[in-house]
Amino acid sequence: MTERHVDDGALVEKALKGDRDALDDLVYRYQARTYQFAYRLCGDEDQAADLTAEAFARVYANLARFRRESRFSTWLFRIVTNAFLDQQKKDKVRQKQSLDEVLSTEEGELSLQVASDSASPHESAEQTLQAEAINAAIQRLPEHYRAMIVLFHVEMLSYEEIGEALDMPVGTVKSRLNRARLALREILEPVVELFQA
Amino acid sequence: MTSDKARELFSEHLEGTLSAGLKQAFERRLTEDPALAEEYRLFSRVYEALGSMPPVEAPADLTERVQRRLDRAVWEEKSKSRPAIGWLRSLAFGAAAVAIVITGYVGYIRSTGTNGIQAGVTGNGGTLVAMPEIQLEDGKLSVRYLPTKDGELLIFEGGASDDSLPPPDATPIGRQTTEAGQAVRIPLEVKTDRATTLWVQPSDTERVVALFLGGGERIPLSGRYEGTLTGALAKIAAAHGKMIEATIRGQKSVEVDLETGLSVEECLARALDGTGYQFAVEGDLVRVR
Repeated sequence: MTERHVDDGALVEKALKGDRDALDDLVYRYQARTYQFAYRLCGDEDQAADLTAEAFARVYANLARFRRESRFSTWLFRIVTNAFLDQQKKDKVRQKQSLDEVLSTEEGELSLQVASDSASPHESAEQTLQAEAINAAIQRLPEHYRAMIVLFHVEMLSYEEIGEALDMPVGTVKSRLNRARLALREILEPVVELFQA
Repeated sequence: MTSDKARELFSEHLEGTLSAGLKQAFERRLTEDPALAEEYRLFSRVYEALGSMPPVEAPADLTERVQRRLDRAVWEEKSKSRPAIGWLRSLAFGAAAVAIVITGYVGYIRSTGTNGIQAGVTGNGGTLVAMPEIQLEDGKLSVRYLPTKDGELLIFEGGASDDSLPPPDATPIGRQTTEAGQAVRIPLEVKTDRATTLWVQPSDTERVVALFLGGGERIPLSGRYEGTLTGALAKIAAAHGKMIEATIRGQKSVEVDLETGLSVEECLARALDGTGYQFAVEGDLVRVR
């Protein structure tokens, strides 16, 4: 990771001097991961692609502000999160999709409507259901919780790195992440059978 | 320990970061409260499942979308330092090499589908491409362009060979607002005999279309050339009295022997060797892509 960090820094230096190839290298290196993060935040493929593109445009515009002591990826996640929050503010329309499709409540009854491949093994189908339910539940979290959950559990960032990315103390990150997980557990309560060992 | 306090410690207990005292108190609380213990059990299952989420596959056009947005960002940054200039200004250049007159766009959207836009041009034939293209029909030059996003098309003339494209000292001679899906056709009227270069740049991409005009008087090649790719193309156009259209992204350096007596094809083959570009001769117009 250290070597990658140095490489990223060198690419940033070159990009700052107008080297477009270096900028493209950074994009190539991180665009799939950025898309994945953006998708987990917004839950929509098209919006995630737009967020990814917007994030790299912001990277370009703010390269001079990148501090070499932090990892490029951490800085990038911060930019994606901000781009996402800005978009949410603009839209004013929360992403409604997701859990409703997975969990449709009728008269208090919970039904699962997730397409599953009948050819898949039972375990695999269950994992898919679990993943879809979690994905949908994440979309119901407040935006900052969402970013934290994805950064920690999907992007595997440490509490310190998340604090750096979201500009908050580590203690706050820890307590909020715990609250985010509690909220997730509560959202997923109706489909508890998916999580029985 | 209260239930709420115990809930605050769910993550830390799972991650094994609780002090021995707190751990003991927490576990005792769970033993006393089966409902809380059940909450904790589901919490830990969700925690575990979060870490095994399958990766999301990026869409096939992600790179293109990112590059387009990035191109626009780069263009916007560069255009901040360029003066805005309208079409009328081009008529004020008494000694301007090229006069450009808009006769309006000629085109329409033929069909739109879920996979994008297809366009056709009425009365002119040919299919438009996302980058501007120079057309030479009946001895008349024009720029044709089908923008995929709203933006602008800027046209510059001249300028010294430079790493930045169009060259910073190129003269802006035209500016056209463009709309996504609306085909544009801009006739170019050349009023000079001297060699020059036109630069056509859409605002949503960093790529630029250069048209190297050979002019009337041939300028002989002088042997070894070390410089920019666009500089080499300009020399070849001037030496052979040809029009060379090149769609370029980013300047390249070339070192090439361009001797008098070489055909235009031989010169281009040498100049483009190792650059990743290829050329095609279409009558009096040579295209480099």
